[in-house]
Amino acid sequence: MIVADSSHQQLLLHNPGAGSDSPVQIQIGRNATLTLYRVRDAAAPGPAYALDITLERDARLHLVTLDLTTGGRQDLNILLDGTGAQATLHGLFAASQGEMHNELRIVHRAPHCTSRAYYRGLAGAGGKAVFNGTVEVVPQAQKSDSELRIANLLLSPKAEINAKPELQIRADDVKCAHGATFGQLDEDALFYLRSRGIAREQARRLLTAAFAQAPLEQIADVALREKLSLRLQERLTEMLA
Amino acid sequence: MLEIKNLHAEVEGKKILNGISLSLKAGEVHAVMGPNGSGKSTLSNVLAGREDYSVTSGSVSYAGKDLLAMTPEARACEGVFLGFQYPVEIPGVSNLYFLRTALNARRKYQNQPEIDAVDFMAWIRHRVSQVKMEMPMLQRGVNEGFSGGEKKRNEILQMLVLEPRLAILDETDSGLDIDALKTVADGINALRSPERATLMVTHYQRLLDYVKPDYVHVLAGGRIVKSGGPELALALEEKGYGWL
Repeated sequence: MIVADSSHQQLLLHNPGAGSDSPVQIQIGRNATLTLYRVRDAAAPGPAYALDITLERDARLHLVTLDLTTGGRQDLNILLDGTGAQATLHGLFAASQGEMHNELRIVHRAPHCTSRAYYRGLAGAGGKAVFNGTVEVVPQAQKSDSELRIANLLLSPKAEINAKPELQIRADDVKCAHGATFGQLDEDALFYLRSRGIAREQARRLLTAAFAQAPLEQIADVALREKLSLRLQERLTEMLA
Repeated sequence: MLEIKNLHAEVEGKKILNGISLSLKAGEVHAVMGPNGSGKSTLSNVLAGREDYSVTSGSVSYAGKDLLAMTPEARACEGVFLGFQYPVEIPGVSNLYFLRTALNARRKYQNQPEIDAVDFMAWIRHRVSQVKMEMPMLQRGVNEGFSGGEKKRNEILQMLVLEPRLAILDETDSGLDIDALKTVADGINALRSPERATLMVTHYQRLLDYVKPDYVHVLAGGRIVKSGGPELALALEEKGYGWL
């Protein structure tokens, strides 16, 4: 798929990879903007698939990726190939059962490109998630500006998340940051809600939803956002049961 | 309404409360004062059901029921309210949704119909102005980015929404400027009635200028060392805690 120069497109990839069209390849032309929503929420994960996106000069990508299925693997490769390209990613994965695997690779191949990736990971009892995020900056990609963050919430002592953000930098004039955090539900917040009469289970659900909601807030399409928000609530209810 | 008998409690193996006995009747306002580390906040938190405090002996009965056997949410639904010394910020949960969820939890517990979002807006509007908050603050996350004074106003707003029978206010007056203090005091006074009781835990006499207590108790070393009328608070203001 090609996004023509200077155009603006919006695309929803819903449970991609089910057919034989893997990897999906997208080229964003010069000065073009693509708003892309990638959602996996099928009961069964389907086969592993990869999405490759290349950005040309001054192209922009806004990507929200939600992984609410029960396992499987998906790869996302972003290539900032033209000067001044910008990619912003907001991701959520919620592992309720089985093992889900998310690979992200962002390559800065031209100077003056910007990448932002903010991920949130959730795992419930019996759920395991692996997230490997890599930002690579090649020697000629000077003035690269990159940030990769992943925050994780473990809902059970049996939940497991392996999240590894990684930088591979071979240029010297760059600004790159990365980090991962892991935590459980905030006991002080839980007590606060309970002290107002909200039952423990409902309080847990509220706090979990608040954590998971952030990437959804980035979806400008209200109807889609609300639909996915409901889907997320269902999944969280299953995870906390 | 509240009968605390010989209450002992500890946190992480450290004894904090060493035999507190206190009795509050409906219609009364009691102030508990005391120096730092005397057990004031522990007492408030134990009454609200915080789980990291363990009660080692004694009893607390509230409206004839064993308070200590109830979960924090059951205590709240039965009409106990704790005003927090340090209200918690909860980003991602809107203040408005939180208030309505809390009110409806209590209504459900009492077999009353839930209030829908539209009726709730109408219902809450004057309470918001009562504590001199602005409606847009309800759209923000609970206490998210609120100043110290705004957090305490928000505590009083929650109290006005939930209309507790027993309000326990843990240093609600600390860190407030004089305007915020008056607003908070007005909120407390608005709920004063023959059916309700208030336990104000405070460091300073200041709040008591605006909310007149019926009784004042001094807590030191995890027990009540002196009780009296409002004049006791004035004496403390003048002489400190050393003379007790």
